[in-house]
Amino acid sequence: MADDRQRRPGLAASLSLPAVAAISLGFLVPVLWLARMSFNPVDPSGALGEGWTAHQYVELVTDSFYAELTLATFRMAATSTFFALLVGYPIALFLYRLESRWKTLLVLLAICPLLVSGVVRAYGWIVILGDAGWINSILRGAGLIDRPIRLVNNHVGVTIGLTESLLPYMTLSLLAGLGRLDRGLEEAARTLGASPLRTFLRVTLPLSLPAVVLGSTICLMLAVSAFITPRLLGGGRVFLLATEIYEQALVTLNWPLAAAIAVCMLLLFSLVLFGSGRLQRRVAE
Amino acid sequence: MASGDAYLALEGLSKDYGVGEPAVDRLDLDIGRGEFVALLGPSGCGKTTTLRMVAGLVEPTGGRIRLGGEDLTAKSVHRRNIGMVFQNYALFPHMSVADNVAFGLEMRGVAGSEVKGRVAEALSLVRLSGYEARRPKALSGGQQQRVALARALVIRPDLLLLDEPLSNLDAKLREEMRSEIREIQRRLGITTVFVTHDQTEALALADRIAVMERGRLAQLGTPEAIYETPASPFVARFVGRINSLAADAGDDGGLRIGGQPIPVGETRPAGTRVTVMVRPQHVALGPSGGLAGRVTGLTYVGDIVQVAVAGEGFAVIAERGTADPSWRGLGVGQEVGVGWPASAALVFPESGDGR
Repeated sequence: MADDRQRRPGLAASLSLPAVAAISLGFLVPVLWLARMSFNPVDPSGALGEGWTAHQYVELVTDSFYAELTLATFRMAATSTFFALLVGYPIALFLYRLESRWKTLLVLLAICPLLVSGVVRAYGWIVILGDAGWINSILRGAGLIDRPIRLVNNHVGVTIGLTESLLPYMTLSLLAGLGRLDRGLEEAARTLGASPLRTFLRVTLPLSLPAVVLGSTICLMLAVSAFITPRLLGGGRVFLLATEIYEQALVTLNWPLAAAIAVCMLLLFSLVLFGSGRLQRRVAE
Repeated sequence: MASGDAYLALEGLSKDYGVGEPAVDRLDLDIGRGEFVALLGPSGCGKTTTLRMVAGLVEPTGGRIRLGGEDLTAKSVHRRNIGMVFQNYALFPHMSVADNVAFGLEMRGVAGSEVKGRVAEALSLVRLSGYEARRPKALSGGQQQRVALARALVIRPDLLLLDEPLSNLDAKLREEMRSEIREIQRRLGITTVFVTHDQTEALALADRIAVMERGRLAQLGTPEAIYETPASPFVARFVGRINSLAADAGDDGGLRIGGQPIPVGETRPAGTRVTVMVRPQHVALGPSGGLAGRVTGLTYVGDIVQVAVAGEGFAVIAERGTADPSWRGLGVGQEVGVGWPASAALVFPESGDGR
């Protein structure tokens, strides 16, 4: 089989043609278009001008607002990825080890939030986290607080919403990456005198690191590019790269600037991917 | 063996998973210090479950495990000081050979300077000095097996457990590792229990063999005892090849097959139906005399030749070493007389499955 594949690279290439065509037309061409637009000048009237200018990029680099925005975005993405990892890791480990006929059902349960639109889920969180939401009602009913704690329309709300929306992706990636983990290895560590905690730290965790890197990379990218959750749960008070692109494109109508931000995000993604690839090779050693 | 000098004692050990029959059913087994005991049986007989209960990886649902007088039953795995070699070796893929071997020492808080010496010692014991920095992936199956053995031995365990240690090796390597394991076990004098479904392995390695059948001990004895005087048709069939013949007792109590008397050193009340078992190498074929039969097939397998003979009410296989030229005159269809030394015949109550 492997020999066959090596001897006939033409077959594999031709089989991947439809995918290559779809990606070229649906992704590469629009991105190139976007890249071109980011160099278009903007007329004083606000209309899209002809020709080339680096004005947008100069603005992005010189205006400290965008540096802060990028930092805020990555901080928010990293925080929610971290929490998703914290919650998703035990779930994935539990599901991976489960030897029960309910396993498939439970895995489905873990990823079924994906079946519900992000908009619906965000509104769901507003119902739970809002000033008159469940959490505040319960806390107030219990006499623990006098005034509602602000859980939406701020960074807290966005972090909670993002974490929840990342969780199925994190769980799935971890579950897929845990394949290297052999139950026998943990048993071997135990017979050699390792307590359950040391077995986890010395065997389970190191062997699951590639899965952790994979899951975190995917979630980080999803979180950086997330728009619906920050928009709805941020209540217009949380400013991130994705919301800024929306502002510039649809409110301010500065398409070249929106395009330039998008191109910069793409470059940042490539950097993240590159770093993650290197990290993954290192932890897989 | 009296339980007084037992080093490892299993007392009424049981594991019931709650579905079907118990995996291990009230198993009693005493093993002496320094002894090498094989748990032998077909898959599903409970031998691996028993081993894993001794290791602490499976919790018994009944009974006790004692080691050197101490009750281990409630002790956690990592406090038992038992070395175990897993079937697939279970070497840590993210650690070097040296780190794999050092793992148990590290968990015991052995000082770094001492660790180095003991790891080197253990690796030289399994003839793998110089492989310290390799990853397990970069080793052959036999070498991985040795690392697993070194890793289990370096902690100076009170007991060594081997779970089908040779089943993943090819035939030639298996024989080599077999003698190597035996040699190391003797040299260290470490009490060892190993699980196998391979009777040759059990016969060749063990001081005593515990044959298990459906969660119970079918027979415990030396390899000779197990092979030559099996306690039941199950043990007789499982350990080595054997002919199984349906016979009944005549008026004088002598055993017969199809009305013809057969050589057996015992009698039964007239009319009793029994199963007579004879190892193929004991079956003698002559031109006449004994049970009259006809050769139905000859199978040449190199070192031996198997001669199938059938007659009225019986079918047997006789084995001859090919160094012995007497079989060369035999041909399919030829009439022969079948016999065996009376001392070689094992008589059991009729086993019911007709074989």
